[in-house]
Amino acid sequence: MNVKEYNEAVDCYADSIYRFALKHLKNAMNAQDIVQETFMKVWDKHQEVDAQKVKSYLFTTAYHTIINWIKNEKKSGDIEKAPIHQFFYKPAEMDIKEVLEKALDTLPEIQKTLVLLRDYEGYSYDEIGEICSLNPSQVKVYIFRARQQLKNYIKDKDLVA
Amino acid sequence: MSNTINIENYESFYLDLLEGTISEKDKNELLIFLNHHPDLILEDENIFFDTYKSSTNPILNDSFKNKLKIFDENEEIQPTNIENFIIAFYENTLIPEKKQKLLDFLQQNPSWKKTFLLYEKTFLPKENIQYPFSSNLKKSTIRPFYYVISAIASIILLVFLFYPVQYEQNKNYSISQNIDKKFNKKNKNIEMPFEKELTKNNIVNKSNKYKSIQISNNNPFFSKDSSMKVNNYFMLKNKQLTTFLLEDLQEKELFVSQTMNNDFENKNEEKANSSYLSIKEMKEPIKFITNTLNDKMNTNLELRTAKATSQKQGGFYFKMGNFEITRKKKAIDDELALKTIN
Repeated sequence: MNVKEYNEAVDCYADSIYRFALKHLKNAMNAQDIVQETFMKVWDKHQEVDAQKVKSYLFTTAYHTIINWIKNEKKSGDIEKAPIHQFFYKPAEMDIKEVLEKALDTLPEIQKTLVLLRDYEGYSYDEIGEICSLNPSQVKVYIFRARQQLKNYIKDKDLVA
Repeated sequence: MSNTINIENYESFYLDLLEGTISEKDKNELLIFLNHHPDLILEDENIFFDTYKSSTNPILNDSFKNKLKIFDENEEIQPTNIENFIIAFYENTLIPEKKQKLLDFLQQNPSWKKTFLLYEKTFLPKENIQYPFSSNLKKSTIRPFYYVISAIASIILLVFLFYPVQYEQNKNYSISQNIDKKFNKKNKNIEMPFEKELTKNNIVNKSNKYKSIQISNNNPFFSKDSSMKVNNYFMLKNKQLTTFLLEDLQEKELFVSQTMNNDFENKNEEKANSSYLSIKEMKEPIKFITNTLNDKMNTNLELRTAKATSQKQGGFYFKMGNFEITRKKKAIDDELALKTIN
């Protein structure tokens, strides 16, 4: 991957990686750090990275960076989660999105990652498996479980008319 | 209570149980262990365990078992697996035929419609979240200034390197002329030791036109021995050269021809011509080089340098076409310089 391709990847995927990190960490500053670290790591290996597969490589790197970040923060017991909903949602949309956001937080980290990759990035089970080092069957099982848990959470909040 | 599962290692067994990868033996041991430590059972998962209490043969309820099963889309749609079909419907992994069957099932069983709608809400809506510092992540495609400087320096260096080669070639040519002329004039009676023999074997050919020495590489008789003779011949000539060069320098400026193919005699008559490089020009070759490059490349090329002195500023000015670089250096403060040295 050359400089031009790298810069194109920044244009195309920086927002996606940021959203991915923000949904995990719930803190804009930390999410920005993750984006910066992710792209820095990818640039360090840009000569080995195929430009065609850069998106997958970016998400894999971001995923591992987030997991490491969470592990480190858990050790130090210093996870800051700022409420982000008010910055991104219009009041009319707040109810269902806020509930879904909270429901997402109840999921195990791996299930949350899979749902984010599936819904926001539209990855297939195979691609998600590649990013998260899982086989497609495991991805499917985790996503199905996640959906069931999300459904139960929403049901409890009685959001469906 | 099990001897193998304890408070230190129960978590890995517990995870295996939830994932459905635990062996029957370990499962039974774990359930016994959990029966003694009900506080360790996660609240959400508690509903999946049947009353195993103090039983030695605990069992899992059907709901939990169904959760462990891998969803098979080829199965018939039933209340026990309809949720999987609904998820697969929204995940868009169902074949059209199964999709239709699901919709038919929902028509026949309207009580599932609410669940169907609930699952639709579990899909995250698209959001436009933008990373505010994208430009900071990009790498510059413009080459740094020092690249340009390095490139220019390389070009100049190449010119300098290339020029002496030409000069050396021409020098040999002139040297041979001078040697021939002056040596023959002053030492008419001295015969070069191998000259005859070399000439005879065509190893050294004194061209009438150029009056220079040329070695014929194609000569089949060119042996190691004769090669040594040629070298000796040149060494002897070069000894004379030093003397003649010194004489030349004392008498007048030395002129060196630009090309090998020009007639030396004619060149002597064209000393003032610009194709000759004077000693003065050789001492300051920049102007000569830039002028030559101007002519050859049809580009406006200019390079000026000046040393900073106590009186005036120094620096350099380089121009190639529309590209210009200037660097100024402050005049040297003699007193400050002396202080620094002291």
